[in-house]
Amino acid sequence: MNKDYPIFVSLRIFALVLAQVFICSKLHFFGFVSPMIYVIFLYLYPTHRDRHLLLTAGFVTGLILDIFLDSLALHTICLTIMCYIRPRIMRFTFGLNFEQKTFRIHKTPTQQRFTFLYLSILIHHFIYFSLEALDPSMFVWILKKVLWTSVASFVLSVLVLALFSSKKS
Amino acid sequence: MRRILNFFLGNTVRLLFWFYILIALGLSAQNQMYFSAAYLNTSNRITGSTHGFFNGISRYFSLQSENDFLQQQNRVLQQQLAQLPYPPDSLYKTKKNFSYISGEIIKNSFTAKDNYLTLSLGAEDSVSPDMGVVNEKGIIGIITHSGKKFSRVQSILNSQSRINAKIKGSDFFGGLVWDGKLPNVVQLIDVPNLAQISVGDTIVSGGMSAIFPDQLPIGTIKNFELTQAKDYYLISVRLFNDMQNIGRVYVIENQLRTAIEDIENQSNE
Repeated sequence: MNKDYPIFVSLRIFALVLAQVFICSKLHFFGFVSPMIYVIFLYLYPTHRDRHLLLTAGFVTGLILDIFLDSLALHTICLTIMCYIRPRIMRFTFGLNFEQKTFRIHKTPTQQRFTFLYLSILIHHFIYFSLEALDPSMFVWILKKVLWTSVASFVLSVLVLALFSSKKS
Repeated sequence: MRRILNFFLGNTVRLLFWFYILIALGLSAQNQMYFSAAYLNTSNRITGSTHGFFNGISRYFSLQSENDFLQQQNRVLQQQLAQLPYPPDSLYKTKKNFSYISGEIIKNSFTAKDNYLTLSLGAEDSVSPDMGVVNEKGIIGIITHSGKKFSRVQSILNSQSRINAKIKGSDFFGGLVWDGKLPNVVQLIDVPNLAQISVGDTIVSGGMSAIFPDQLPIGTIKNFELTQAKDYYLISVRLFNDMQNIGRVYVIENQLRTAIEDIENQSNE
């Protein structure tokens, strides 16, 4: 069965939201690092699907996260921005391959996939913590949070993806 | 007209993006994500119930330590009760104006810059906004909104929080704020430079507001410095409370609050 059917995509997003709200947001490495694994939404969402739908899915997912995590629409803003710039990040990471209709993210080399994932996480976290601080004097704090949280998010995301990926035939 | 139409049709993704961003910014600006009491009550009911369910499961595994803690607290209270002098002065009478409602924090947060907690008590339990939330180790926050069954607490670890506090044994007051950095250190500002302070001194609630009673523990002085103008201290306070691990709490209800506010409003007029 095709894993890109809307019902499967919705189920994956729903599982991500649950994992973020009830597991990841309760983890506090070193007392201040709470990983945000829901960024793998950008990795899991089918590539050449309608961009309006992608933006709407990102907006709704962010909104649900904000309601559960009391985060003042920060997740909504970040995820909507990330959904909007996702094609550019993909073009930057995968090059011309991305333009082809047959392009599938799981068929690309591991290095490229990890680069795309970490780049997405890094940009997302930078926007998130900058908006949260909204204060140029906290630049060092922002960098520290971005660096540590992005590493934690990346490691957890890779583990989650490895755990739930289907075996290659 | 056709050009305008073509512009809109050709930029639907960009327009949709800005539309969503504007909605999100609006949500963020408008009373921090809560449009109305009706919206809050619905979202609070859903999120509160879900957090309550998962919190119930995790609390089950710490029942033994919870029991030990309650037993220890009971022993301390019994000792205090035995030593209570019951002074026949007005101070004792004032303290009786505060009543305590027991509850539980079902969703904790301390890594963000503006942290909010979810409390398992709501309007049904006579909990209303602007009531204080404490535990046996000190102040936790102030209720900003109460739904039917759950309430939202603005933690002291919130950039918008400002609580009246003072140095124990003196009458030098200041405002307790948080710089968003460490979850166990807050800042006491606006304490005049006349105050005699030293590292390790205890900071307690000031009792100048109708929210918290006087002398509630907060923390100890970690370090301090004078502001640039050299007229006030900027004091770092290490909290007694472990804000990363909060369970049982008490909501403080000031039974004379309406009367105090009425008289203050009359004075302002």
